[in-house]
Amino acid sequence: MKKTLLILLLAAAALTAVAREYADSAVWQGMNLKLDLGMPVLTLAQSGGRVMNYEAALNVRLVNRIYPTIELGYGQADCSAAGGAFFGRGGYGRVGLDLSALKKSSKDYLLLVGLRLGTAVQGCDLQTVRVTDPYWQRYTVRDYPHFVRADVWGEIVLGVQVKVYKSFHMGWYARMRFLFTRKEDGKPTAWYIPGYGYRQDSAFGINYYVGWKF
Amino acid sequence: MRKHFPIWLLVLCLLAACDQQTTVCLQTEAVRCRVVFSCDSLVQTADTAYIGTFTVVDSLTVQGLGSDSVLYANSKAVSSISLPLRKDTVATAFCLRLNDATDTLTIRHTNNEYYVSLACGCFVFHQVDTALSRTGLVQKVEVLNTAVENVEQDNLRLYVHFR
Repeated sequence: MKKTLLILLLAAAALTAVAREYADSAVWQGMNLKLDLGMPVLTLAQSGGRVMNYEAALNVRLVNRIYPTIELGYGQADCSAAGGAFFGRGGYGRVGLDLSALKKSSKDYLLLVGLRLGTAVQGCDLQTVRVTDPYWQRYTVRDYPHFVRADVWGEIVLGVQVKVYKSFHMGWYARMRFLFTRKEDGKPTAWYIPGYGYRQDSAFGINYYVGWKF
Repeated sequence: MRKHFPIWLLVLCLLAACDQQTTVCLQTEAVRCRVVFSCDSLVQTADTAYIGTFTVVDSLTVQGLGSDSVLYANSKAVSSISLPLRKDTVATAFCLRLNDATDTLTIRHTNNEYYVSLACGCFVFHQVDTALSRTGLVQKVEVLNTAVENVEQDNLRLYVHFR
């Protein structure tokens, strides 16, 4: 944990130095580091404590209109249902681009539209998967331990960013996600995909974040 | 913020409803071997009474061999039946009573586990290898479709005759 914190602080210091160096450039206009506060609370609340998700994002401001973005996160899910129990945990990342949707760009507020390509890799366990045979009165369970699952998806995002105080800003993203990877017929798969949501063809997500401008 | 509270509450409710969907099984688990009745004119002999192109059984009782539960109890005007195959063995036998005659239908099959979802668990689908009867009531068993899954399709055709 201490090592991670140290790496993050060093990375922030390096980014600040880079941002200062290019501060006067007409193209490069700095960076935003964002920490998602909304999704951890929302996923915890809606899943009844079964799902946790943490996320941070970094974007750069180019010509005050284009925002290449990278988002990294970690998620884990632990759920028991009638058909079995799932435990999965793993990391995810998204890359993409936001564009300022306002005609006149402002330093204090932004309306952003963009696209993302996301991928998640997680280790999963499926336990006590139910196999019922009501007529013949046979009830058995199966375990599918330690399998790795990778998924890829695309997102359309709409976001707002508002300056709160000096370099400190807040905002939200609404995301429509479309899963590109399909599960193999009859094979065990992940119930929850970190950074995407429950395994469905499409999913809706919201981030509420706080950020710092460099 | 207070003004927008109902909207956030609605969003949360919608997302919670989505979460519920992922833990409730919405698929049917009825994996049954569907058997249709027919009569085979090729095996008709002088002392055998067939009922023409008859494909409906007047009275039918079906029970799995080794089970206490009756699948069809003196059912009337039956043209097809759906039989649950065993998931733990590769042969399933059923005792058939058609009108006043009895026979045992044995279906040999393989079992394939099919993971559906966390809500539904595993289904077991089957591949029918062979099917045969013990006495002469069922003259011939024809395998129409070897795959027994959770979709309605005819798997076997029983050619029956009544003396």
